[in-house]
Amino acid sequence: MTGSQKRARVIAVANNKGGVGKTTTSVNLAHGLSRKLLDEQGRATGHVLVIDLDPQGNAADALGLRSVVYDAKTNTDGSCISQLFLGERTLRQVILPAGPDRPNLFLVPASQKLETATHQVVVQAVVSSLTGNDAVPVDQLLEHYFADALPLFDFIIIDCPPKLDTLKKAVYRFAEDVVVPVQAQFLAIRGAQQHTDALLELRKNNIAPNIAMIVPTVVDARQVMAQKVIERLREIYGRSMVSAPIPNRVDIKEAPLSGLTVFEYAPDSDGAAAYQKLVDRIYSDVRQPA
Amino acid sequence: MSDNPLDALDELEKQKPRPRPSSKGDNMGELLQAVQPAGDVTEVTKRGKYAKHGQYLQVTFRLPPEYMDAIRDIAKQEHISQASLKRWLVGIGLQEYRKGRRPKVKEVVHAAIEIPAVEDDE
Repeated sequence: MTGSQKRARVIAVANNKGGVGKTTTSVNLAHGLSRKLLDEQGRATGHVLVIDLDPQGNAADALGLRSVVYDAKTNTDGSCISQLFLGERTLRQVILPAGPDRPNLFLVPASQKLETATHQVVVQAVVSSLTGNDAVPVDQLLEHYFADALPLFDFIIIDCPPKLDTLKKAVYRFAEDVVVPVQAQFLAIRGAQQHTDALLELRKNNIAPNIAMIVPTVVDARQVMAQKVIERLREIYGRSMVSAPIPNRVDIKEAPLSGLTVFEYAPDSDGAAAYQKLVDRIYSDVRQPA
Repeated sequence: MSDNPLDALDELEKQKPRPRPSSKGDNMGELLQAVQPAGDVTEVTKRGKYAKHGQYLQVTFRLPPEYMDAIRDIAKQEHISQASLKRWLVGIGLQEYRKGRRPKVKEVVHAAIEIPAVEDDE
């Protein structure tokens, strides 16, 4: 890749805690960014890719793409990122368009097979070090398999599982920015701090993702505690690093059931407005490709 | 970046060799045939500091958790015992060593405190 080639902005949406809204944030952020990359006639001026690394594969559900995702029992022809890591399919073969209404949004989905595939990659790396065969080290999985995608997309959003573990270094070597959704509960603050402290620790090893945004989610504005939690997050990270809160709204929770993002399901809702603010912040704050 | 990325990937991948389906593993079957299941072992004796179960010595050593997770999953996938798989993995390593492959060894320097001599009280 030459220096003059454009390069996607890679953003990981991550938090060690489950149920904080990582997939919801990933999908709505990605769709929102892709909408900003459409001209007045609806033609794409740029493209966005979502990479799902959670074996639960909820990103595909949230985009209504479950029917084309790999399932060991019901759909062995479907796509899964594990096929890429195991050399069974190419990148082109695992990328799914997100539908005619989202012309510039794409998804590389995950399934339960990803768990086994990740472990196989670890063992293959060990065996290759003994046999001299070429095997991609686990830490370089994303850099290696998504290298061709970097000049073709404007944004790549990685939906991370709660337990990143084996793929942690792979994600943070590939991603330049990290968005951390945090539920507006006091107990969640400590978990978020532990997560961001771990990220800062990685910087000492030259794996340096930039903590781009802390996103308070499931915020009930009627609760004094929620406001206190947001204030505390601002004290810890700085006001500019904490996005406008994502409210606790039924629309946000129901949208995935219909395979729609909040912008499609309830475009005039508070939830859509909140995610639009996040999209606008990320689009303008995060360095864009040249 | 407004061209369809899927078309661009199609063009890129036409120029690359197609990936081969992953094989089941180098001579795994042959080595596994040479390794008897632990269930066939009945007699326990002693060899030096090790307990000997039939033809095998009982050995304990530590592995990273991700190795254990991988061994568990691969054993399940290949329908073999974890113990057999571990023996095969070690066997593969020994084969490679005999072919000339060597582990990378780095020196570890341990800090030591110089303990001052204590003078006797007079």
